[in-house]
Amino acid sequence: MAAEFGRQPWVVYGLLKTQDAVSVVVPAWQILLTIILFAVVYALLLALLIYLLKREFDHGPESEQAAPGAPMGKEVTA
Amino acid sequence: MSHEVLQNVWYLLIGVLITGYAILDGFDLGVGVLSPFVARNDRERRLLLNAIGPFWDGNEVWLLTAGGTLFAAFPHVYATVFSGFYLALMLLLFALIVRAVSFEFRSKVESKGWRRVWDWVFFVGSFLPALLTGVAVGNVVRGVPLDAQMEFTGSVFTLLNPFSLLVGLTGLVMFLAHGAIYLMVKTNGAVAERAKRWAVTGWIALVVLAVLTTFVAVMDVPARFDNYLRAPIAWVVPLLTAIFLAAMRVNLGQGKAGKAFLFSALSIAGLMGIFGLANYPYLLPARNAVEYGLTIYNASASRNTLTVMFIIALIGMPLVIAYTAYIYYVFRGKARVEEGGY
Repeated sequence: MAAEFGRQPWVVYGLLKTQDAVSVVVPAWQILLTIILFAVVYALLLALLIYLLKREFDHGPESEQAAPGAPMGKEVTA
Repeated sequence: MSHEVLQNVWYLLIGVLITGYAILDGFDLGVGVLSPFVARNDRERRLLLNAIGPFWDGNEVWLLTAGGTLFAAFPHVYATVFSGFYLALMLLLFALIVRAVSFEFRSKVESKGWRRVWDWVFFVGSFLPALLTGVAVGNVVRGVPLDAQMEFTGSVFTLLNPFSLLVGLTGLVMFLAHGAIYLMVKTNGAVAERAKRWAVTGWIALVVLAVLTTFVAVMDVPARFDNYLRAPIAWVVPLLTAIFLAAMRVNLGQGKAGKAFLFSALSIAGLMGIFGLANYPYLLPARNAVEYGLTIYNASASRNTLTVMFIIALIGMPLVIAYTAYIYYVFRGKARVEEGGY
């Protein structure tokens, strides 16, 4: 974000301005549509990631963490 | 090397990259399109994912490389295509994003509903790229409306014309047959048998559609056959392609999956060769006026850029081919469903 905003109004610093680099044939509504879609897709993926990570954390480590000599697959209380 | 030689070399190299993408990602996209039909239960669906698991992302890199190379070697084509085909390419990108996620998320939760959603995402995320890449090729053969500033003047609906959709369908069945033969190589039993039936059906559809596409192209854009009339040696490529397609069918019939896959790959290379020869020297022909078309001469980067890129390609391409070959060697043999897989 800092890099993107800090560089404005240049897209290539000192060489090419953002206003000169923009596609002339892509209408503004298409840009807006894809920005919204990117935001939605990434937000969804983040939500799914958090859900899966929380599941993993709640579930705890697998039975290979069991103390030596303990029967396989049984919970070991600390 | 002169600028002209470099421009021709880069036309060939971009062709190699796109062909490599079609052959490599082609089979894993095909597996995705076949997944609802070939896999009947959870174990079989996981088997399909494991069959392509170690390879699919490496295969997709060929598309990125082709796009990046186009940007550097032929910036005017890159600018015109990526602006003009904006919505179509975004659709392709979103399909590839959700497809990639479906691999990773599917088996993480033991819920039927969860897995059904990701199976569906995997199918759609494979179907759209398998269809859209062919639609793109169709438009590049047919030509698109361009103005004197090399800008695309159509809309997303211009791209969805009947001819390009026909080429899209041809590409789809090409990937489907290719993916089915890949599953014959990588699986056993019921899945391999179902895959074989799809491979045979896919082969018939591919041959019928390829011939049909050629006839429609003769009617619609006769200019694309000028090279074949001018240089009869070019006919070697369609002739070889016909031989490869025949060999693919013969080996399928004999149950020699490995050889059938080799000839399927060669057939794809042949079909791409026919396309490359037909379009040369146009990277993107204009449908409205011949002189507005983007060629390897009016759309290329400077001689310096092409020279530096050529040196990088000479070093980079053997490395990519080496690691790709190594990964296929490490994960050779039949796919299995086991802990730690998909």
